[in-house]
Amino acid sequence: MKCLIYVLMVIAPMLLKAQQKFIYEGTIEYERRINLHRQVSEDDERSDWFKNLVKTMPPFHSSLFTLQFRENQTMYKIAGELPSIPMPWLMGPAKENTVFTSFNNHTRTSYKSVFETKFLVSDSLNNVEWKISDEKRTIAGLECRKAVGRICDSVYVVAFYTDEIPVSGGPESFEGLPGMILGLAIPRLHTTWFATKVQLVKPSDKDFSMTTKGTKTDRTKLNATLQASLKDWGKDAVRYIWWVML
Amino acid sequence: MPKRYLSLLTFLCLSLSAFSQQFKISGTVLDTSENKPLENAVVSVLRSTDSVLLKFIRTKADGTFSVSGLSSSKNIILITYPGYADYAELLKDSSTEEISLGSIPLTPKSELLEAVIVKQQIAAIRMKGDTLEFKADSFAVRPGAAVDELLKRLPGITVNRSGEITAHGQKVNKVLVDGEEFFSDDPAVVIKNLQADAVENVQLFDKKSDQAEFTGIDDGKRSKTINLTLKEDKKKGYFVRAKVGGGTNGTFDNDIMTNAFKGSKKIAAFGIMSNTGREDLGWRENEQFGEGNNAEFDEENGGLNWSSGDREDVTQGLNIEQGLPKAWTAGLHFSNKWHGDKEKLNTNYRFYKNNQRASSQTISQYILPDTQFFNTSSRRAFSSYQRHFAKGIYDLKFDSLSSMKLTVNGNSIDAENASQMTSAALNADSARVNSNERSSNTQASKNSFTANALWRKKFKTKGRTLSVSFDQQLSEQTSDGFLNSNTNYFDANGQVDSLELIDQKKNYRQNVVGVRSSVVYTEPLSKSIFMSVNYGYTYRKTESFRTTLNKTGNVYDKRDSSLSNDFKFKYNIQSGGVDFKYNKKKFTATIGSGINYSMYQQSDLLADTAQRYSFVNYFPKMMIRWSPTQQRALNFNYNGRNNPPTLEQLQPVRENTDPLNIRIGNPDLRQEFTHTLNLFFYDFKILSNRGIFLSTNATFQDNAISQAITTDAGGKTTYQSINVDGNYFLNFNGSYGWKMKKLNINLDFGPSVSYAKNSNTLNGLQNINYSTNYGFNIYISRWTEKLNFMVRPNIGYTFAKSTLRADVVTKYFTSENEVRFWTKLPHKFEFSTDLTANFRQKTDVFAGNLNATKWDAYISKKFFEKEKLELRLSVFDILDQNIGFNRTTNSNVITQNSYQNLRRYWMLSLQFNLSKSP
Repeated sequence: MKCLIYVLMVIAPMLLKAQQKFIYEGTIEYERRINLHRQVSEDDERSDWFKNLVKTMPPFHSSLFTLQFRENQTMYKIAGELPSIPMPWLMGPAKENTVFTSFNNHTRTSYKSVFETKFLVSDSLNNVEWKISDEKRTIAGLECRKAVGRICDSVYVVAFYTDEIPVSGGPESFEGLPGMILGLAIPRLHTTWFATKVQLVKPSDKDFSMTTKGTKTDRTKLNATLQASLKDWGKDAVRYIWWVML
Repeated sequence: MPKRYLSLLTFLCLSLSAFSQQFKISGTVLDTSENKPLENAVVSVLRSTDSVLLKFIRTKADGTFSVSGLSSSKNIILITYPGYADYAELLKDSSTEEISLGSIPLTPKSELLEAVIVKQQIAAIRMKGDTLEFKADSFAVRPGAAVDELLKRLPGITVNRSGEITAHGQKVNKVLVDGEEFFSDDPAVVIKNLQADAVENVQLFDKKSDQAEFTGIDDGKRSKTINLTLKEDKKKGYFVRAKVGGGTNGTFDNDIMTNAFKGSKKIAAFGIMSNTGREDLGWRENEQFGEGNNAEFDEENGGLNWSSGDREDVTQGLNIEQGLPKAWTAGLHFSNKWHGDKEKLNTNYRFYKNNQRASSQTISQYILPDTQFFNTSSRRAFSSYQRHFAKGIYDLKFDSLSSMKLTVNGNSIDAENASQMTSAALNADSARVNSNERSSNTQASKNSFTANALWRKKFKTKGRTLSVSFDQQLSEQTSDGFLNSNTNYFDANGQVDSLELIDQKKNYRQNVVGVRSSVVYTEPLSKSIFMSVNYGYTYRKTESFRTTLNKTGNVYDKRDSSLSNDFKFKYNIQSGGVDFKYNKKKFTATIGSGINYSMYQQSDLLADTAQRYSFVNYFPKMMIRWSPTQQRALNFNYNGRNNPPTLEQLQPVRENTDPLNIRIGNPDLRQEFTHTLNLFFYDFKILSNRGIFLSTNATFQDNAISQAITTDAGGKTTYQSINVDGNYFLNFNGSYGWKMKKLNINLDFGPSVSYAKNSNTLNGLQNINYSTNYGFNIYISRWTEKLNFMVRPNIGYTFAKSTLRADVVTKYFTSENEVRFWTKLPHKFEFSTDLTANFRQKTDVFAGNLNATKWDAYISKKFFEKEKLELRLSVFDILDQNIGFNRTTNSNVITQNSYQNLRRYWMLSLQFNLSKSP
């Protein structure tokens, strides 16, 4: 796991095609699963009554997202409607973001709904330091390699990327790996994104047109706004801010 | 062309590296089997110390690559290509800036198949399907050891120093805890931080690929996974709290509470002994006690179903007047879950005893067409109540689609009551009209039992459900008592005109048997439209037997036939309804109606007569909710309902407990119809901390059941229910709040207005009462870890008049104000103070001073670690002004009631908390 001096070979009874096909454009569908029960930690100072109440809900909140991609651009958005839950504040804000990434310009624009305000966040690509591991798993039929990154100083992110899609994108604003991220897990948010299918449908130019609505801001300013508004919210605020900054 | 580019690139890199030492790595990736160049292979450069990805590039069509701009030469180079084995190499320090790796051959995995490691066969500890399961307790580890030590003990599993796990020669990629993936970032973290003795089983299995699990088609790919299941009883703990408090004026307040849980088993007990008005556990205490909450997730509507009635109040079913209580309360609770939470049991028992002293004064003003009366009365009473209450709930989930819930309740109450009352009525000229003195003693008991069974079934089709419920109710009630009353009626000269004496013994018995059943079926008509159909049937039979005996000589043996009776009541209600619900994310609407057919029968078994009444009642409803965001919504509700008259209103059983206030029936009474409209809007801004809330309610009644009030010259009042038209009630409430961020202060303010029109008849004349209330509220608060305060001033104005007596106008100001302050002080001291100040304007009738300020405070100190011990000195009602008071304006009667309350006392209390959680 630490050093990759000698490579462990994972053996799979897989027949090799003579010429490997790479996917340069298409649409990926991700399923995002949020573990609602774990949104409240055991040491949370809220009452047992509240914790029991949370346990009465189904454990997972599941929703579908699509990522349309071509060589220099990706567009991530929700597929359909976000299923509602009885305690929406358990999930918190920014749960149906639209993210447009342009690798040519090294820029990203995200449209996020944070409580009553819709933000249009424009910034350059963030530089996540990814540790590459030798662990592999197959997601949506494509072999992926594990990488571990870190955001917001302390929040670990586990990503699985595939060499077979040579576009360095991924769900939300995660990118910067040698291939497309098909699996993503943020343990501290108890949330995973896993590709359920990869379709070889060529997206049109229209699919990459980003909205211009919303309050314009950048990551630094948005973070400052959130810190000021949510400072009395305790543990929920920390989690909310991580979500918004994804 | 490409060559020219390449040279240009090389040139650029060279010129860059001239500024700081920058390395460039180049090479060509080839397929070993065919010796052909591989295009699009990923060349990743990782930092040798921590595997962080520095750069990556894809090989060109000719298999070449070149990575430049590297600040160190000592890197790991990782080359990958789908279907080929990975190539990794740790590059050594290099003095030259250009490192050429030459040809790099990649081997197709198909050729490596020969090297497949054959899975070892070992004796299974326990095989559960494809899973090898180790019972953790069978492998002893030292106390306090972490899971890695346990894993090392298991045959076939090795753990190296960096926490990497190998099972049967294969690397374990994942460690799950209770099935959840990514419990932590790293398997090594999990096994080092979890206590070995918390683990029940270690399950080792080959996890199928996600694709295979998703499609159900096995592609033969596996990865080794360990799942740790935790012991249920590791989730155990206990909690004990004891409090003793004693104060001036003989006050005391003691309690003890304990609970313990082990896995899903929970047992708890508490006892309270207090004469400061504390009779039951508070809301928070109740949580600690752990009766559990009764919320349930409703998958169809995505909402939470709450059964708030489940928490029994100890005083429920008891008519306790305001006064000075001395109460003992005790409770026991046991609950358990088993069968993987498929079966749940929850049982509760409560005991309550209260000896209550009460004394009160009442002043009433009766505004009549031609005159006014003023009635003053004073009352003293002593009551003793004793109550046992038990409840059990058993929940059984047959499978994920069907479930059953059984609830049983038993309740037993014994009450004794003795009261004395004197009253006097004066007319407008302050001349005496009547005076009354009465005393009563009663001994009563009530036993009741209810049972409910609810069966629910969901179908595969989302939104299709069926539920069947059955209820049974049994109760018996007896009371025995004496009534002694002496009423004098005065003539115009103030001389006793007539006299009414009552000295009676009364016995009363009532038995109730009832059943109720209902069926509800919901069907999805489309993805967003649901239909719900329901049918219900209720049957109830009540037998009521009353004897009144008059005194002759020293014995009560003369039956008063006008006050003795034997009635049998039967209720038959059939009901049905259809609702349609439209459910979209931002918009939901419900429309529907219920209908019921009610039949009542009242049989007088002594007179051998029977009366039958039947009514058809409608219950239309409509609800619209538009919610563009989670923080903003507009709700509109309409409910219409028929209220049939009660048997009491149609044909009351004759009573003489209060000889000056008599009720008579009206067999011609029709049902009333009430329309209720409600409009509700809110808009909260969380980021800017601003909130708006507006609410309007309107109620209109057709054929409203009102009263015909007849007061004779002697001040004796008779009430009869009648139908009137045109009653309505309007009300508006609004509030606007925001946060002053710099001061961290929340501010809220808003008005409230209500307006009501009520008709009745007074001595045969129609009377319409109008009453208006205006209010304004302000709410200022600050909440921080160390200091909280809130200030809530309020002012209200009441204006009431009636058409019959336009000359008599009632108007007064009231103001209710509240201040609370709490702060933490150094050395674990805490200080808190609450103040409630009520001001009421005097009126012509109510001239006494009614302003009262109740001010409480305490100072406390906590001791020891975890604040186990708390010493508190509190003072209640510092200003000694805690008067019990209420004033009501009700058509032509304005009543003011003041009663004895707990007054100033000091109390010193000591509280001890001890808890252990898992």
